[in-house]
Amino acid sequence: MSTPRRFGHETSAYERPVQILVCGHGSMWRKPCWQGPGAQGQCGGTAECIPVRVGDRWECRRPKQAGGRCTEGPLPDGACAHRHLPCVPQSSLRRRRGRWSLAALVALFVLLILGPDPTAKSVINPAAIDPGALTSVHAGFTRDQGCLACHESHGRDALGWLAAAFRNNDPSAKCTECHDFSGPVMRAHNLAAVAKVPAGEVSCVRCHSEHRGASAAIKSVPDTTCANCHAKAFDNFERKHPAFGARYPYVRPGAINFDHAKHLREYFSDPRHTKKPNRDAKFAALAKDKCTACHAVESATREVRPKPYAEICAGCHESQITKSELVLMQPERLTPAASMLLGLDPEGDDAVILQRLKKLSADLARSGADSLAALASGLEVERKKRAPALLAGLGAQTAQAAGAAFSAGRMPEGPAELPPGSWAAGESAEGNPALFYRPTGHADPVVRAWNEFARRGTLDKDEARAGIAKTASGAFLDPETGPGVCGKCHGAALRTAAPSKVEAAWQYVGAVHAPYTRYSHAPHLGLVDPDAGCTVCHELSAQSRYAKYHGAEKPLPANYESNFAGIRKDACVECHQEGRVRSACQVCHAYHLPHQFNLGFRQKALKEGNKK
Amino acid sequence: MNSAAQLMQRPRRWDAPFDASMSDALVAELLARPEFASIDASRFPSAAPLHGILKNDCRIRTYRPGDIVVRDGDYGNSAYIVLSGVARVVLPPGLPDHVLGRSAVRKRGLFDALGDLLRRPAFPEVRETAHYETNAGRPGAAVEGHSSLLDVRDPEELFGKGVKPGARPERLPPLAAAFKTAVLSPGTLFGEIAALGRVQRTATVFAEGECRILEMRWQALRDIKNRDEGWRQRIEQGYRENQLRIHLVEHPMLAGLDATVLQKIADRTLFETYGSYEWYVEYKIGRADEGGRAVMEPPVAMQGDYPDGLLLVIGGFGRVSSGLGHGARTLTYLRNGDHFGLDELLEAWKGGHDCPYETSLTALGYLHVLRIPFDVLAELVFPRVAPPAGRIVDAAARPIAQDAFLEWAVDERYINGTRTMLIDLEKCVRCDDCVRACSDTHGGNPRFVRHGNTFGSWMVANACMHCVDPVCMIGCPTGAIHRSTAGGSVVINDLTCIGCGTCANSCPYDNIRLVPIRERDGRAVLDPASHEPILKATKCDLCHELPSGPSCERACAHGALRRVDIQSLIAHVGALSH
Amino acid sequence: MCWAVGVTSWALVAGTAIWFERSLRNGAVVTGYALFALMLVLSLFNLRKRLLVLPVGTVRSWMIAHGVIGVLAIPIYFQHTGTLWPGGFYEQIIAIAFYAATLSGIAGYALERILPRRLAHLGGEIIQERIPGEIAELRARAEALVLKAVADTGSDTLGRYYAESLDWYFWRPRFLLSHLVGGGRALRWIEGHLVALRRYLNEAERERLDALEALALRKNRLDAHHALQSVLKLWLFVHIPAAVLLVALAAWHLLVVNIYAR
Repeated sequence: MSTPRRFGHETSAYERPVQILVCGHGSMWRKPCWQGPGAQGQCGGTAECIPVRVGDRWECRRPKQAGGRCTEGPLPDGACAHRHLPCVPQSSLRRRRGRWSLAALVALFVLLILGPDPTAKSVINPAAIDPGALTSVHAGFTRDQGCLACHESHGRDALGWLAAAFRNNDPSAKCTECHDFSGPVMRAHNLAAVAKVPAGEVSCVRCHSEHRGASAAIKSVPDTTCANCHAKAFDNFERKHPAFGARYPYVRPGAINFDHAKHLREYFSDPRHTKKPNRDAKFAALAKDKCTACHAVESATREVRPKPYAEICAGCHESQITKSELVLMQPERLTPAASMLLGLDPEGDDAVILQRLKKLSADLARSGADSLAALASGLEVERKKRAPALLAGLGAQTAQAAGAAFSAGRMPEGPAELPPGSWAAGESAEGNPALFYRPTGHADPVVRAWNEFARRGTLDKDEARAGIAKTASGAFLDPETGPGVCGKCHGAALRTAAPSKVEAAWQYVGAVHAPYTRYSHAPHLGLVDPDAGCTVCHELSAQSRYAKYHGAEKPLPANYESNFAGIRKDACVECHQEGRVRSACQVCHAYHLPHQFNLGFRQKALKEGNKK
Repeated sequence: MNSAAQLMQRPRRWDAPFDASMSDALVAELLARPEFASIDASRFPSAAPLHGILKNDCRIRTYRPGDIVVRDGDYGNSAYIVLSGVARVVLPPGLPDHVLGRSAVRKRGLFDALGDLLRRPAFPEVRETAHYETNAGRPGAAVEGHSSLLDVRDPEELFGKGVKPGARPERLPPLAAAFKTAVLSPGTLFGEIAALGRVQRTATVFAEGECRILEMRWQALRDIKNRDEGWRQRIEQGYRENQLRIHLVEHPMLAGLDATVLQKIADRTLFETYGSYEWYVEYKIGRADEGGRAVMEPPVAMQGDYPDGLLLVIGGFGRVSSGLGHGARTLTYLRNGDHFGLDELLEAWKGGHDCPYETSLTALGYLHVLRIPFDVLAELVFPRVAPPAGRIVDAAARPIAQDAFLEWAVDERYINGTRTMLIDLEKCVRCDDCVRACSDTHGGNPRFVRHGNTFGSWMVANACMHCVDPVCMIGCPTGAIHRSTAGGSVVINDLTCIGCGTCANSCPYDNIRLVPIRERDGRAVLDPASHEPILKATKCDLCHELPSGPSCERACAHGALRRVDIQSLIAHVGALSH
Repeated sequence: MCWAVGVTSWALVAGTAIWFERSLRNGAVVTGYALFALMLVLSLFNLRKRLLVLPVGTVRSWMIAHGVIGVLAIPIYFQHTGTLWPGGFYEQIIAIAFYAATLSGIAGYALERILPRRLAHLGGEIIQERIPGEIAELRARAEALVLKAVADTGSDTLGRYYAESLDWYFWRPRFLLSHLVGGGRALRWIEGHLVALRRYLNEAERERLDALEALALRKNRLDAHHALQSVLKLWLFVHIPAAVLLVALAAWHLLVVNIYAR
């Protein structure tokens, strides 16, 4: 055991760790002097004591802690005999530590004020507030304005800048300067009313947090974010996602009546149909097995749309169209077209009808097509300028000849073979005299005009006339006897569409309806046999009653049953499961609704950008 | 054998008399007084005759009016007899602390401490020297060894309004009515209980007019008491009346006995003192040479001897040891409240035959014991108390290694401490936070040194242990070092300290340090005559002014530093060492 | 107990932050303010040590809390940043300061557990401030010994050896790295040198050499104390400046975030 007796009370003094200066000899590994540094931080002296003159002698005054009175005594001149080199007093360890801290702080301030780029001309160096790089897109757009592009407070003077700390500075407000949304910006899913949103409004930056590097994925959102609100929270598509609906996604009837089952199983494969004249047997053989015969996979997106009519329908159906004539007028019978022009109910008094028809025949014989045009122009629902479309191509001679023949009660002399797109007076299909029009084919303008004429007529304020128009429209859309057999394919669409909508009613609209889901066929096509692989998801359903909707006099969307069975979730899960393909919410669902929203730059922003 | 050895006469008791000016004439004058004339000088041995005792262990001092003879609360080894003149004793409640040179305990609160931190001087040991000017403790005062009531700062407080004590009046004006005093007429013996019992003085005595007082060292008192029946009765009667009953009542061994039984025991109890009150002097010399064992330990009871009574320890320390191999093994140590010999006496009482001591008892320094004779025990005590569970000698069965810490603590006399600073060196990160905390509490000056003796990984730092037997307090000429009335820690009143170094030299542990003081601007304060620096004694005061206790302990972030009574650690550390 | 409180409060902070995120609010606000509060508590430790009279728990409990809080700040920090290395310039400086303060803290904790034991087992406890004086005294004694030996024996072998080697050794603490890792390079150096020298000395000189060896061994122990005690103090030269920087930067970060994004 050590016994530090040498450090007795007379030989050692208190150690004083609070002192800020220590004798410099210590740092040079010499014995520190007992006085320590002086009052002003200078060396405490080079002598070990200051001798005192007592009488005629000098006496040593070295204290006991420093060894007591020395044996030699002071020099004759009164100087101490024990001298040592002066020192430069050193800071104590703690003081040096404090200075380190201070130096580090100063260095920090210098670094933040000067920054790595001292040429920057702002009071606060950008480096001092640099939170990290923007994504490359945003970086490009904000290059000119800098921080101010998103952070309003950046532009304030020093006081305003500090005061901004106590205000709301959510940069989301600036997002909408460029980004447009169809609904309220910060409401959930941009829908005005969404129940149970905990935060009420959701700031853009909650999900799209910037300053995480040029290539940061600021658009992707983890599934947990969705689960915040969606009560049936799940984190696993395979096990937790609810099964798709039974008819999903063919919920809404399409515009075109195309019975896949009948075509594939009968029209394309049954020789009774394929061997018929006017049937394209070659196409049928192809289409029997291959969806791609009709569907243009090359341009597949969310939907694989069918190819145009001319390529895939015309082969069989064009002759049916050109064969089905539009009968404008007969001398003994009120045709739907004539009922529209004359405003006569076909079920009305036969005598009146016959009398009017006679008069019309006489007018025709006298003034030709003009009399018909005059009738059409007088109708409330039709403007004069549209009337010519109804009678386009009807020559005066043909009309006069027909009128003369009808008045005379004889069969008009028509050409033996009527070319498509022309009017003729002659023997109708039933063998009666008639003034009729032979359609040119698909999308014939005259036939379309008469269909639209009838549909619009249903809007007539005169109830009697509206009823007449309704009856006529029904007759026009008859899938077997209607002119151009338009109703065969477009029937349901035209019957259900509002009469005011013209283009929409005739156009193709797919049967698929999934507003909250996004899907693209393109990446999936490579995974399956391009000719036969479609059935992996799209299976024909044997029980489906497709005609229940499309064949109905009054088609109700609720009655629609697709030819196809609903797509099963299993089909997706086959690939989209843990360990295989991503199955995060965002793969199929998007936050911002509806999908068709205009997510892009506002024109204004672009213009402003261009101006600059 | 060794020709280079220096020859020197063996030191004897009276080589250095108490006061060299004690002449034979003065001794003759004393012997003529009735107190001493009644003593039969022939009963004294030739080695220590009565004449020699008076000449060498006594002195006559003359006190001027107002001089303080003994101070309430002091420790001292002397008793006094008034020879002529009038001395007065102050009756309770006594004089205010500052009159006696004590510092009034000023409890410092939070804001005081914060203020101290802000006002911390730039230099070590800065003092407001202006405070010393009006005080008895100023440098140069009390050089004659006793201070005077006339030196008080505010005489009106002491003597009442209107009383103007002259610079050196013939007779001290009467004290204010608030202070009750009684006259000590010539011939009165006082201070003998504090001297013999090593207890604090219980009252202040001052000279009213000029008086001559005989000061007797405790050795003188002891010798005369042992040889003269009159003195013995006089002293013991006083002792029995004042002290003995208290000791007996408080002694755990006798707890639960009723008053009449205790009185009977007290009547027949003897009291004895072994060893030397000045043990610290021998101890320091002994330590310088050899280590603890070099110091003589007077035997009280020896293993193998037959006990005649139970020893109750009421002061000092005793080592209980038993023979082991060629040495003696310390089994435990005894202090106030402990007893010795009970096991053997009980066995003798039960078995009806004498039993020798199984262990030895030696005095470590001094040992103050009460001896209750065996027949008293047999009659009054043993039938009434439950026998103890174990025997002291059972400790001898412990592994030897386990006692190393005990032996060390006893040899180093750390048993004396009550708040010893013990540092666990395995936990201490040497951050000096304890020293800094101490320094912050004491105006920028540490009051201990973080080094000291080590035992294994334990270090007893050089910080005041606040001893049971505060030998530092003996001989302080101004009463600057004293026990704090609140808490009992030993503290120094800086205002009255004269830097004589008596306390620092007495402390066997080197825990008091003298520091040269400075002015606030850093200049050293020198004595104008000698150009010696003015010194002040400093030591740990246990932060007695703070409500939070010692700062060092509070500051230790690693639980390494503790202020402990070392006895509470002996079992713990012993088990670790083993 | 303290760890239970620590883990509980960590769970509380982390849970609140997650709950914030789940209700589409900013969880970083919770962790950020929690971190800042923790840093303040951590740095208040220094103040608490200076203001001992304040009745706010013992320094020992503050020390324990300092460790616990320091550790639980680590997961909260990563929850807050979500990355090991942030993008912005000043955020990178914060990260450096955080890592420096945390790692030095952990290192300091380890050192404070290990080195005191080694110091205690070395024996010869000494206050570090006294080491230069002690070395100077040993050097003076060694020099005196050699001078006297040369004068007494009339041979300058010892003197030459002292000037060549021992003077270097006694000048200042040596072999500090070896002492730090507990290696015995210094002892082998002394041993090797003295063995080599001994063959050239006579009996009288060998006695002096033994005395020199004793002095060298005493110095060796001082060196060990110096090495270990220095490290116990020097780690704070990293920890404290880093902590000061961290608190300053965190305050700045708090301000900037409140001005720009909240």
